[in-house]
Amino acid sequence: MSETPEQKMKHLDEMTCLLYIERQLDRARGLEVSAHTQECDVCRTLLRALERESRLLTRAMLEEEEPLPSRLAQFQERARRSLQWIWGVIFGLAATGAYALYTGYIQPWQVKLEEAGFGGSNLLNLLIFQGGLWKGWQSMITLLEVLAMVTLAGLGAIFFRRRIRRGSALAMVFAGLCALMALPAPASATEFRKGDQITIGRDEVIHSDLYVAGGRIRIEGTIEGDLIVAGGDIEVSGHILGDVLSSSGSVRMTGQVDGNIRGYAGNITVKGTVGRNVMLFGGDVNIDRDAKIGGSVTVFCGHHTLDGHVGRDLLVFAGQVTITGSVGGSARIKGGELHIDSAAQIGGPVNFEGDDPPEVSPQAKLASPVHFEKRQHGDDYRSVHYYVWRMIWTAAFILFGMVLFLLTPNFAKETVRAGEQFGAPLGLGVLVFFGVPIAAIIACFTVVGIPLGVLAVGIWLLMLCTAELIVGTVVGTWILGRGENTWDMIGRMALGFALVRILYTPLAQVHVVGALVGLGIWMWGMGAISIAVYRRFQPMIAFGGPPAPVAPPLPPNTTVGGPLPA
Amino acid sequence: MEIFMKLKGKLGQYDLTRSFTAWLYKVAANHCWDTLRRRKIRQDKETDDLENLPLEHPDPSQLQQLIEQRTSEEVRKALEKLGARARMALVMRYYSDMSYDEIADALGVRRAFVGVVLLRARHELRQALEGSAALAAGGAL
Repeated sequence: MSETPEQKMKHLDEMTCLLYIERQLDRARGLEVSAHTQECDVCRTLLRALERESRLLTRAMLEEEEPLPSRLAQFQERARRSLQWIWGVIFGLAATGAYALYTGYIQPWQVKLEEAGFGGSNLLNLLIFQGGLWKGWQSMITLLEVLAMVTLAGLGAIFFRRRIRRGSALAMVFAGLCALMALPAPASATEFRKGDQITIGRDEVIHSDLYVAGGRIRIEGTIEGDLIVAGGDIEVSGHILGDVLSSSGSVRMTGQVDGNIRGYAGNITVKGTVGRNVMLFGGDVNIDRDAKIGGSVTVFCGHHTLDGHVGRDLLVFAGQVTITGSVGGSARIKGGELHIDSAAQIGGPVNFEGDDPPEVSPQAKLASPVHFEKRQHGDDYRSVHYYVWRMIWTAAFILFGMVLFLLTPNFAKETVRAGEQFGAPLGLGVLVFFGVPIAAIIACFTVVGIPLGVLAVGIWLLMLCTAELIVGTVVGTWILGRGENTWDMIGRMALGFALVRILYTPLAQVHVVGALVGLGIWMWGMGAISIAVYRRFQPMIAFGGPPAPVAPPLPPNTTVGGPLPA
Repeated sequence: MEIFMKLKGKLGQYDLTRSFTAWLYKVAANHCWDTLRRRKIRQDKETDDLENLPLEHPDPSQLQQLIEQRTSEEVRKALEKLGARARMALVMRYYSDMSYDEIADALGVRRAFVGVVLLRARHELRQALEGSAALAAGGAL
């Protein structure tokens, strides 16, 4: 280190650091140390090192005291000897799982997305790089803005590394970033509008992309770029030359959209002309009699009515579907009920997977009879097939966990340790489980917060996928004791995860209990991950880190240990 | 066994207002000191040298590295190499969860010196760990 002796003198001595983490300093001195460690990286590192040393000591002594029961020790030894074939089986099953995942889920979706005109891109690409968002980003962010944002983000990171304890500070950093992103750049080709009531007049022409956020939005004019809109009540009656991306309570599209429409809303009605494809998520989605859609329609909703004309294919996931209009291509529908009216015309095959047989009018003009498949609710627990697949998925998850543990061994170790506390992670898990999606939805409503919202949901989903693995590792650790290295931890994860799955399988058949246990596992795991993340960002040692006893504090001004440096 | 026999005899002397654990350790420790004294290899129990402990600032990153690289097994082996006082102090604090007052009572030192004893014990432990690492490295060559 190239520190001067003066600088060295300013550092805390090791004795003070030790007494601080052991809560033996009087309050005034404790506050001084706390303040100093917020500013001094060297002393902060020393505190962390001392705290880890305490934990290592406790762990070493506790492990010695609690040897494995002999049966488990024998099992562990046998497992270690036969590790090669166990991992061989896991890899084999995992490869089958990965193949099944691709052929069963990803490939059909890829095909559907291609059919729907998205060129085989995945959802992330769709949202960020190919949709209106990416164009907006391109035009909004100049090199200078990128530099400014990176600098601000860096400063923010340093700031909240030190002040992370204050939630308000974290909120300020994010709010600052959002505010920066929300500021319309003067030289930008993108236009932003915000307000309670926003109207783009009939004669108004926007020569760029338009971002609009507000309570009541009316787009009557012409948008030469994309329209990205979020609000309570939206009506688009103008002409959009690009795509429309919307998120709102209620949407009515009565105008002309040359590109695609993608959006989610409580109630969506399309009455106008759409040049390309429509992908909608909502409560009620109505494609009105006057609607003409050049491409495909993909809908996820509670109730869907198709009265207009769809040029290509129709893909619907809905509770109730009513078709009275025409579909140029095929129709694939999954849901509760399907009604095909006498005026309906469908040019391609119709596949329906639902609860009840479809009601098809004899007058309806269909290229072929509706192929009906009764939907099976839940899994068939009585079939061998179910258990084979359960094994395959278990192996696939174990492989996924192994990759994660090998990528981030220290973080995994910290997460498992956090999970061992049970109470705290479960409490925090409830907050994260429900809070993050709500926060993400709120972020999405601010338009510029959409990337933030998508990112938050992505992280949340990743946490959801890994939660069961963490719980499995904690269970494995309870059984076999703490491991010495990452592979030990992976072994415990595999054992614990398999056990959790075995125990959960019969419980899952009892609906309420199964759901509660499943939720509990998710929340526990998510909470443990959240605690580990929090601790990673924590600038200084939390009091009582090691399972050290809480000794009564000394009376004020009591001298503890040797002389302290100035 | 001898300690338990001694405990049985001294049970009447136990002051109910004080910590039983600390008393237990104190009896056990005193018995050990007596045994060592009899063997004339008793280690220095006085605390004069404690005040001379240098309060240096160790290199935090090196310390962190040392801790991260060590397993529980290595720590246990290193603990065995420590002096009786150092080992006892660490065991009382990090295994038995004893407070500084209880440790002071059991070790027969002033409370203010418990921190120093613990710090010195940690230093000894680090030296033992470093020594075992050096030995391992030498053995590997």
